[in-house]
Amino acid sequence: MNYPQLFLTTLPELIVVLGMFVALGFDYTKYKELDPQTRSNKVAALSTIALMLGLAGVVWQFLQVTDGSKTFSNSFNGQVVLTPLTLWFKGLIFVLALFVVQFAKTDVPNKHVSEYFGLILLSTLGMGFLITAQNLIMLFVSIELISLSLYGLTAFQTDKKFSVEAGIKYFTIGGVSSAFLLFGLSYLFGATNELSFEGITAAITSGAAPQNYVLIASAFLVVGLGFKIAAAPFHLWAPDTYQCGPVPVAAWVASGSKIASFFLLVQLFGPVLETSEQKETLIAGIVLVSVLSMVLGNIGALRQSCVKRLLAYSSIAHAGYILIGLVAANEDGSISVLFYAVIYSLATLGAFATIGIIDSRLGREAQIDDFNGTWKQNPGLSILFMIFILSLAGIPPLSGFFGKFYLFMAAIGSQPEIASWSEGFYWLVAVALLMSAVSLFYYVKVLKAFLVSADTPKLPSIQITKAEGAGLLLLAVLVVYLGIYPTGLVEFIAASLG
Amino acid sequence: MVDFLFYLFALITVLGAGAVVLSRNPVNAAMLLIVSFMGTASLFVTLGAYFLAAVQVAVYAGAVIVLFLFIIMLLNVDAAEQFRPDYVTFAGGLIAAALMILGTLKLFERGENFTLLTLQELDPVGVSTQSFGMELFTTYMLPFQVAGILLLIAMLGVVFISKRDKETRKDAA
Repeated sequence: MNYPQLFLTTLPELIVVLGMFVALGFDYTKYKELDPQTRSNKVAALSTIALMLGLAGVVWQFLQVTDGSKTFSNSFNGQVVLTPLTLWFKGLIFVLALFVVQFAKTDVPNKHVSEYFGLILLSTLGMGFLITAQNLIMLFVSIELISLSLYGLTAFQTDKKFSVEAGIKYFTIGGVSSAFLLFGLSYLFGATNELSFEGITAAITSGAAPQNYVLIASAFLVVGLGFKIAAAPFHLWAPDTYQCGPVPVAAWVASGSKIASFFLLVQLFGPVLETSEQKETLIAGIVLVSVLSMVLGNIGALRQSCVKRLLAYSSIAHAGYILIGLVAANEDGSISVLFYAVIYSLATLGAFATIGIIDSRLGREAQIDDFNGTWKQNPGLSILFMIFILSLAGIPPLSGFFGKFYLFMAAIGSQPEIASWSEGFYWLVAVALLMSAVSLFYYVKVLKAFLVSADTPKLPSIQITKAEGAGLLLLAVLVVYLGIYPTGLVEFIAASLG
Repeated sequence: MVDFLFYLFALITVLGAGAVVLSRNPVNAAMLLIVSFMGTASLFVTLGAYFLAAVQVAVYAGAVIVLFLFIIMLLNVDAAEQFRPDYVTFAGGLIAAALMILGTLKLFERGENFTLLTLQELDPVGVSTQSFGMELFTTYMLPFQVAGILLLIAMLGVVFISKRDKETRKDAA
């Protein structure tokens, strides 16, 4: 065991944990007598510094690894695998966490400021660990790290009944899903006698592992991870969690934890799906989950009047789209899944942040009607929101369009010899396109209230803080940039996957 | 002999777990859970995992159940109201159980020549308490530390969930 190396490998995480303790310590002693908003600003500043230093650590590791340095070549049996790809995604998680902290600081639900930011930082750590984990034990521990912090964050508004109810619902369903996941992982370990993904993949492809055990393990893993990505029929927690938890938390659940979970899905299932004998059965199962998610998500979103709930259903639908890339079961599919996870997270984080700003100024949950005529008073905010929503809807030239395009092309391209529409994944892509058309209806309904409604605006002119404004603007720029110039990221992912 | 013991302990585990679900009184349910845990611990012993068996008894049958009982008594939960599952719930449970049994049968039918190994055969050095400790603090140092952070989350959660501010308490009164 090489402890100095372990120290260097986990340096970003150590910095963040240290920062969290500093923030907690200051909040419990020096800031004790200050009013909540001042404390919130100070603790958020400390968390921001911790995340930035952590990010610097990740960037340093990234540069070392791309330079071909051997410092991080030991992955401790797959516990922390540092490659350009994993480090890039870990860096992205840290960046998104920075955004979430900025959005969270203006409206902390109660006086427990440092616990709020502490849990956000800890869930960031969990997501970072999950992305670099290619080992079953590390995988499960980091998933629990994410889940437990998110349960706590969802129930954070302890004075609001619905927040606590959403927290308990998320906790119960999440606990059951963790049990499924653990059961699947233990079957996988039992069948392969390996803990690292590398060893597991080798055991499965060489035929050393009994195939029916692998199939059972995969079925349990699909269920367990299906909960984490909010795919139907495991989606029941999502609408309540997104609607009733604090808005920055909902944004964080929908962005950061989604990226980490999809990264894991690709890492875990990618090799198995490309080679396993049970491929057909497993793909059929994932196709079923994908179709159900797209249909239930989009149909469910149609009748929502609360914008957060609408976005929750839309996130279920998006999980369905992303799974299409997974069933393609080739490298193009993996690339498209990772690419879509990134751009979906950026857009959904932006959309939730905008709604969070509006909610906090409105003092209650925003309904679609509340947005009527927002354009007149807040043109800047309306345009940013339009960019996020249109990207979610998949309108070119925004990045959402190219994300969907890559997903669908990967699915069609996976069986090039097929000509009839009823074979291969043509029908699946057709369902997805149909459902995208349905989704356009509710996305445009929200935009109509924002932009063209003739009613007098209900919302006064909204003052947004510099941090919020900068965050939203940066997210919007990224969404547009990745739409106009997607090849950079796609080629990077392709090069580092291979 | 080992076969007989396996079936005996497995039966104790399953019957104990079933009795937990069916029991109307929460305190009885918690006590019956101990029976189930003891069955699991005995299964670990037959596998040669003595340390795991001891941990199972000390942590689960001991500490966790005591916590359960504390909570049950603090909250003063009476015997649960008569729980009548509606037909949908009942049918759902039945279908799930049937699928599970079917799947297990299928698994053994197609079991190929897959023999289960005992722990000693699997890893001759890895079963003693000493080697367990060595592995935990060397190979699995990182997951161990992360598990420590998990407990920190529990502490943070307790602070904001159960700590009441003076003002809110006044409001509630």
